Amino acid sequence: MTLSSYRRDRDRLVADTRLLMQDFGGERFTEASVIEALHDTILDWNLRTRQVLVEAPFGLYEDHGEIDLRHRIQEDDGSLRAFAYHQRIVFVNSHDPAADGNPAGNPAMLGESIQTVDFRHILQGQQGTTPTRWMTDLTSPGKFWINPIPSEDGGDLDTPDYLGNFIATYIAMPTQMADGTEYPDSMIPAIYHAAYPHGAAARLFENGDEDDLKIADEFENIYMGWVLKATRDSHRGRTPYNSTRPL
Amino acid sequence: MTAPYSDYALQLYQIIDATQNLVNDFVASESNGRMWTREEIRFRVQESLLELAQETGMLRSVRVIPLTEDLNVYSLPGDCIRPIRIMMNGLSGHVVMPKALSDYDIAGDVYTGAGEPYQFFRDNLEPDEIGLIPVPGADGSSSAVDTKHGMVRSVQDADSGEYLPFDAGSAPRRLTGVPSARRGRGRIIYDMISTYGNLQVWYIRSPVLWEDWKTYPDEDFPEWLHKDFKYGAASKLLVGAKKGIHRLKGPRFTAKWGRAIADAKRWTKYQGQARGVVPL
Repeated sequence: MTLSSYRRDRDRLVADTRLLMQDFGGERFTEASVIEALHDTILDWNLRTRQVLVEAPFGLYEDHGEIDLRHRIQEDDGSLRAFAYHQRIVFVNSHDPAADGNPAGNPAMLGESIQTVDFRHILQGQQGTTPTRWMTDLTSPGKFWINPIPSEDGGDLDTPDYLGNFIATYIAMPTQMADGTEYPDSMIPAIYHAAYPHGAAARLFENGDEDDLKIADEFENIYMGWVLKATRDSHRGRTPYNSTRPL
Repeated sequence: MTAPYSDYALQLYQIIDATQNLVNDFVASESNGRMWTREEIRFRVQESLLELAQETGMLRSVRVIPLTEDLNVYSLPGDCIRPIRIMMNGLSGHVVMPKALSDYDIAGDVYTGAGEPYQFFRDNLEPDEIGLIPVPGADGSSSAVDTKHGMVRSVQDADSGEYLPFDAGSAPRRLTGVPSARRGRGRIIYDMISTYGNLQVWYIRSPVLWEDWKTYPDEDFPEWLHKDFKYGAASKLLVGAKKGIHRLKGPRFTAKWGRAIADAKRWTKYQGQARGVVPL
């Protein structure tokens, strides 16, 4: 037996949510509204726990200092999950991660603010072959600036050699369950599926009356308890990257 | 209409339906409620998005302001909530730092020089104005130069020769699938003035007005936020409500909207390594 034994497909999650709300026949809430509440709950779950995380290469181009990562992901063949927020950027320097599958040889670009760049008299427009820093405070969400700005295009991303490009790690929006037999996003451990009916029921009961609101509070507390458990148990909690991560 | 990035994107009519459900005023989808019309809810949605933009500062843009010799006060862009960084001469130029006029007043001094501005002030001016020190000693460039980091004056259809109009109601956005000459992928198109000798202003902007029922909001709002817009609208609808259930729900949704704003503020800021060390 493995953890996946705890998996719940969409039909099961809908049924569990209805059970919590004592709406077995769907008289109060339509199936569509329950499914929407479940998807919103799973989205909220991942924004807080960061379990669905994507690492993928993207191209660097000469003179391009501003990068719209959200749009790049959309331009992809559709295999990448949609962007939620940034985590890490690595410049593919001298080591080819595709050759042996080990990206560890590439330096991460340091996240900075434009203030620290300005105060050190670094020109925003300076160009170079090796970007070393990235900044999110000049742009809207999903975009960032790199510095130095690339003075040449990176290698061809369609070949195993994508030197001179960057690898972005980002927190993604979970894939939705398209039909009743699908499970929540596979990157989310199955043991947490039990949390979702509580989160969904809390959302749905917000539309109700005074008594519903009290029950919504109860379910919300149970759901947030699960969020705390997931964050505590996540392996990322033990890395220096997340030592200051707030809940 | 801009295509969404994910399945979590919501159109205006969906937000309004969800808000009506929250405030127990749902009659039918895309219909007025008994207590509030769709237009009244739409207004509250717009209010909430403006509040979100103001509190989080997440919507950011950049414009070039052409400088005129001997003129030292200029208007900020029309959608500017507040400027965050000013530069002269483009990305390889210098940062223009803030200065208070009171510094001169306290010293009993007055500044009379002319040259290339290196400081800006906003005290004693209207909220949408910015003043420069020293006064620009020359006009900035007005030529349409396709600089390496620059912006484009217009986009011309390569076949017909016609200039493509901008949708004045939308935020400047990328053009895709249009037969035009543009450099590189992911380049944002703006009204173009060369940055040479001119001011480049990075600023926090207001969201695009959201008026069509079957459209998505300002595309710079992350789509994971769309599910929370209903709380903002509901909290504003229920201000001063007299009905019992509404008096119960009003503070609840106000608190939830406040948490959504706080979460958005956190998740749209730099989240990488050295967070907590890098000042933002």
